[in-house]
Amino acid sequence: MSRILIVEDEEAIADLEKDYLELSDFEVKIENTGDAGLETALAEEFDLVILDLMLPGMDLKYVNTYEKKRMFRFLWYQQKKMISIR
Amino acid sequence: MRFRTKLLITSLAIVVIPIILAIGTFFALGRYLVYQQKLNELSKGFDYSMVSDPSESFANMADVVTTEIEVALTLDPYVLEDRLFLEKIDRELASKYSYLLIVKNGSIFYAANLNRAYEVIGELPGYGTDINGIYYTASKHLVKQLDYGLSTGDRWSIYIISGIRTVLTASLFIYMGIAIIVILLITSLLLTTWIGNSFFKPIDELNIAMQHIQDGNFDYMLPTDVKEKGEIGAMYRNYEDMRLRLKESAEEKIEREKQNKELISNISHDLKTPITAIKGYSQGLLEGVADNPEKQMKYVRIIYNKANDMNNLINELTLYSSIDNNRIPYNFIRLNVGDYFGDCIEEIGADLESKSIKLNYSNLTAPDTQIVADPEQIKRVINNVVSNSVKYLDRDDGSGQIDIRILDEIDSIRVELEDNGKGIAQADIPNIFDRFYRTDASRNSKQGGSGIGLSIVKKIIEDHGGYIWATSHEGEGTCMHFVLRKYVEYADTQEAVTVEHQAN
Repeated sequence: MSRILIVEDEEAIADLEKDYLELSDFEVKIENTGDAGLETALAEEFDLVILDLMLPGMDLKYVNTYEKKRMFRFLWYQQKKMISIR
Repeated sequence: MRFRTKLLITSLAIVVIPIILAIGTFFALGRYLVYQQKLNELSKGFDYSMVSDPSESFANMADVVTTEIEVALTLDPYVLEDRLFLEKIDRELASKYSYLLIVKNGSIFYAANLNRAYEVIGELPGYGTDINGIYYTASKHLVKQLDYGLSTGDRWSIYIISGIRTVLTASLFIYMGIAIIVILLITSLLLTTWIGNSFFKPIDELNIAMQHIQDGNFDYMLPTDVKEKGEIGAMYRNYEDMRLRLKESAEEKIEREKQNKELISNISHDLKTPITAIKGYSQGLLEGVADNPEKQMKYVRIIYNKANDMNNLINELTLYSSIDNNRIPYNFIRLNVGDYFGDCIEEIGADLESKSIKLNYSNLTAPDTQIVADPEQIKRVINNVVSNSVKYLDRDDGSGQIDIRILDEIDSIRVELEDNGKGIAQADIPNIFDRFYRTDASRNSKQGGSGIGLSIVKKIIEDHGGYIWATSHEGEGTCMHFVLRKYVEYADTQEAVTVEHQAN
């Protein structure tokens, strides 16, 4: 079963996405903050990360490209796909 | 120097200076011409009348001297042989640039300057020519002749000769004429240049400056010293004031536009989020993603909540807009501080208790203290501040508390609402009363509201003639302060101190 990580702070939207994806037999994990999302993405195995760009404490549009690049690079090496939304 | 003063000076100078210069030139030219004709050997002084009108002057003098000689001859027929007498006459004549020449029996008997005498002797008529009055020699010297014959047979001719040639007067006038024209031209040129500079330099500078402003450059400063006094200085200072005002205005406009763009962006974000959820969850229901009754209830509830959120947001926006445009008619009435705030506290007390938040209230003003305010709006203020405290309390262990104090500040009351929540960063404090300001950049709907609340609160307090501000320490808590003026009755005049607000 493929695993998907959703990093999204709007709970309602994240939950809905999870419901949809689970219907298609994906295993879905939700993280609500950028830091938690980064940690989880690096710690566990995922096939896909769905990432919101404006997150509390980590506005990836403006802040800390080093962290962002780190995550991207790691997942790229693992040949993971990443979708950025918004 | 004031420009008007310069104008006055110029108009006087353009008359006075040429006059002075002309007089000076006249005397200088006269002296020069006198020197040129070597007349300064006769007299060191300057005789004005001889130079300007030699005929008249010479005639008068000659008459006087002739009479003098005739009288002397009557007394002593041989006086002409007295050298001392002749030299005395010569001295008299010298002051008018004239001299004496005596011819006896055809040859020169006396002449103070023999060279000069030889020069002129050829032009003089001899004895016996019956000439009355004064005549010109060929070389334009004036001469008065006196013939005297003695019984001894000696024939004397006495010539009084003017050293000045009448052409001198003519040349004098021509030279003076030229000199005056030149003087006038130069004076006029200098003075008008002087005035012109004072006038055109500031105008040119101002033109350049205006051009800059027209091009949108509000930073160009006039190069001249603005400390200059007078009209020009005043104009410069006025320009400077205007420039600063325009610059400020332009910058304010840019700022307002920026704020507007931000506002619209925030509004659309805050509306899009609930709409996305409503759409999503409705779609989920329609497509059967909610495959059991619990899920379905959940979806419907979420749709309902989001719709409510949007409704609240729109209400807040409307309220803010009407307050901002002064469309809300405030209902100002006199309120007893103790009674009014006591009621408010009671209302929120119940709600806070249900959330396990402690409420401490103390009123330190005198029991008869009154304010003039709109009770509904002030209640809105309190509710908004308190709900913010609750929202950002960050404690679910029941240790949360809110202290509300009312203090007496002589002519006003101060209300403090203090919580022990998560506080506000020092950097954010100046901004919290801005429209739509959320310290959380992500603006997610779970934690916070629209950010409009505090800007409404500030507007209400300020419309009441009061002030509101916040102090906070991150991690320790926040305190909101606002000040409202008391209602005071003056004992003698019964004039009320009220807050005036134009509601239209």
